[in-house]
Formats: sequence, structure tokens, C-alpha cells
Amino acid sequence: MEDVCRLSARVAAGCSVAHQVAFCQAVENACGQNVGGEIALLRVALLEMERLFQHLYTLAALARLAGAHLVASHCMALREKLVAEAAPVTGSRLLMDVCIPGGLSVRETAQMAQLCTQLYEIGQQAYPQLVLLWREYPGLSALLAGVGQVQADDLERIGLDGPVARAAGWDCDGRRIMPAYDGLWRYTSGRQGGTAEDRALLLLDEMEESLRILDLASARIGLAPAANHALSVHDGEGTGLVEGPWGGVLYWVRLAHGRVAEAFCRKPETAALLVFEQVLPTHVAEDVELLACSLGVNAAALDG
Amino acid sequence: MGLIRAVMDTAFWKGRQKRKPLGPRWPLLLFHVDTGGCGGCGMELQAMTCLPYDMQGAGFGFVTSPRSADVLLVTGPLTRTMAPVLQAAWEAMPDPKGLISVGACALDGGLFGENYAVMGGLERRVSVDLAIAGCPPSPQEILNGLCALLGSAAQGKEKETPSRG
Ligand code: SF4
Repeated sequence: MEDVCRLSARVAAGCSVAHQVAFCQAVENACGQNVGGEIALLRVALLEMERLFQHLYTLAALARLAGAHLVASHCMALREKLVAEAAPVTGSRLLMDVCIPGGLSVRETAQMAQLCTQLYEIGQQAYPQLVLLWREYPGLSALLAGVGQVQADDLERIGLDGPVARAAGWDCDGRRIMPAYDGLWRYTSGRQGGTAEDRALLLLDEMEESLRILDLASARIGLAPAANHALSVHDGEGTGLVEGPWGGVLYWVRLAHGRVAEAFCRKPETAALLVFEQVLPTHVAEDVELLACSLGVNAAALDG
Repeated sequence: MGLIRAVMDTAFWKGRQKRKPLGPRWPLLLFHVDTGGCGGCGMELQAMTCLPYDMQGAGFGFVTSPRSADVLLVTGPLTRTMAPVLQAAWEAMPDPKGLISVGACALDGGLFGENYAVMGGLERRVSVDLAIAGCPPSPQEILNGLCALLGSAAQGKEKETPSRG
């Protein structure tokens, strides 16, 4: 079971927590056990940290590919600051191996609330400057506005959700149906033009939203005990669904004889490749990398 | 396996110095190939090129073509689809050249077992000049490893970072 969980953390780096939490939820559902509110809340905090780190990484890559190296280096410097703050508490820079079926395996659970506050403060301080730089960097918006326009109907037909869909006007977010997000997540309307520029601005909006969620979560963490549950593993099936940085991550597992007999994983990168192939013919060769990056095409996730 | 043997002509490695001497081409130019895995090692390599890591100050730079590279940096387990790419990159590099594996996958396959799509790590196939352990190694650990190859101390004192990922 632990090996499969470690493997789920390595399907796609950058979406590691999403895969771990979805897998753990699937196993817990198969066992008919509930991990309780505090563990669920700590998992939400980890999911939002990952979203923050990954959105910054994506924005840096987009800026670099668009030739805005100053913006890219700002994004990476802020990401590194946040990652360096989180790593001693979570035990992992890329938040790998922080979840186990029945609970969590972060290094310093007792410091998670404080970490959420620190990340919020660092992020809040740097965020306005980053947004200003992004919006005012000469030529960046104009270049991105001409790349990768997609329609919400097409995305719905192909099945690509997440920020790509939200930036095209399809209101889909798995956090809406996750009970642990009650009172934390709220629908934020953003750009809906469906271009790479809209997606980049939506990622910036979502960063602010994640910072806000971390701030709210920090006040709630620690109000209840966060003990891991010893799972009594039965034969059965279960599913788990989580909103990762690039969209919904779903796991189905079948347990038999105390082991994971079968598992299926649905991840947004599969649909992202189909959308990429659909819009590719309308782009020049120089924009192909930028297009792939803005749609969340990820070879590592596809071969995982 | 045979393909990789052919790629990494083992005869070439015989008698090679363990440490690559500093040549006139400073900095040491690295070409990165991600042959599979989760992409985590690649993300940490990318982080190493940015602040606060002084990669260029330590004497290293990335190039986008193997033709101007001194060292091939490999991340991820070797997948069958990427084997010809790795072979082509290696053959395109001028002599003398070196091979560095970054992360557990590139060395021994890590969590990814050998199967119809994955060939495993490099260690049983070719001679690796330097193996940087970790899953993934942190940017500072990668930089320290690269500096160790040149026999120099790592630049800058960074916060201790965990190595489990
Ligand atoms: S060594 Fe670990 S982090 Fe690096 S590619 Fe392999 S699984 Fe991913």
C-alpha cells in the first residue's frame, strides 16, 4: 500500500499532493473509513501550497518562453522562497510523500498552521508587485493573447477541466464538491477569453485565492487532534477526487487481500494533449512550446 | 539494452579520468535529457538555474544543443521511446564528454521497475561519471554534486533542505 502511495506521488511532480490525496481518499473510501476534519484540513493546506508553487513554476516557464526573463526570474525567486520555507516543515520540497492512507506523513505536523501563516505573509507581500510586473512587462500580454485560443465547448467535449477550462468560461472546480473546502474556497470569476494570456492571468488570480485559503486554514488548523487512523483494510472498491493544479485528479482502486489489486487514475494531462493537438495547426513553430506550456501538456504525467 | 550498449560505447570509458579536467571552455556546459519519470528532478534542475542558486558563478551553464555540451545530464528512468534520443544526444557531443545521472531513477530506475516501456537506470548499462542521489535531489545537492566533480567547494551557503523529494 505504501509503495503505491509513493508511486502516486511520482506520477507527475508538481501535482504530487493531488495524486497522493486522491489515491488516499480512494483507499479510505474502499475501507469505509473517514480520516476526520483535521487531517482533511491539513490536506487542503498541502493542496493549496502545491497549487501556489506549481502556478508560479508555470508562470515562470510561460514568461521564459515568451522572452520575459525578468518576469520569469521573479516568479522562480518567489517560488523558491516559499518552497524553502515549507520544506523543513513538510519534509519535502516538492511535497512528495506527505500523505499516507489514513493520514499524513509531514515532518512537523504541529507547525503546519504557522507555516500557512508564513506562506501567506510572504506571498501577500510579493504578490502585488508580481501582478504589476506581469501586466506591464512590454509585449508579454500581447504575445500571450495571440496563442492557444480554446473554446469552453471544445474543452467540455474533450474533457479538459482545471484552469484551462476556467479561463475559457467553463465553470468547473472540484473544490466545490470537496467538504474540506467548505468556508474556504469560493467561486472567483476571472478572464474567460480562452487564450494563453487569460490562462496566465487566471493562474495569478488562483495564486491569490490559494494564499487566502492558507490564511483561513491557518486559523482552523490545530482546533482538533490530527491523529493518523490505522486503516483496517477490507476487500472492496473506492474512488477519490481532488482538484489539482491542472484540474481534476481521480483515482479508483480495488483492494484485495490487504493490497492494491487494481488502480485507475484520471488526470487532466491526457485531455490537455488532445486539446494541444487540436489547436496546433493554427500556430507557428516558434509558439509550439509556449502553447504546450499554457495548456498544461506534461510528458512526465502522460508516461506516468 | 543492446541499443544502449551501442550508444554508450563502453570502450570509450576505459582509461578515462574520473575527474574531468578544467579545459579552456569555461563554464562547463551541460545538456539535459529527461528520459522519463515524474519530472521532479527536471523541476529541481530548473530551480537550480534561478535565484538564489549561483550556478553560473559556480562554473556551469546549460546549453540547448548537445553539439556544444561537455556533460550529458540525465534525469528519469530510461524509457524505450527516449533511448534513441539519448543515443543521438550522446553521439552529437564532442569529445571528451561526461555523463551524470541526477536522481534515483536515472541511476537505478528508482520506483519505476523494468517493463515493456521502461528499461531502468543507467548504472548497469554504462559507466556514469557522477551519480547525484535523491528523489529528487534538491537544487543545492545537485550543485554540490557538480562542484564535487570539479573538485571545488559549492558556492554559497544554503538552508539545509530535505532530500526525500
Ligand atoms: S528520482 Fe524521484 S523525483 Fe526524480 S524523476 Fe525519479 S521519481 Fe521523479
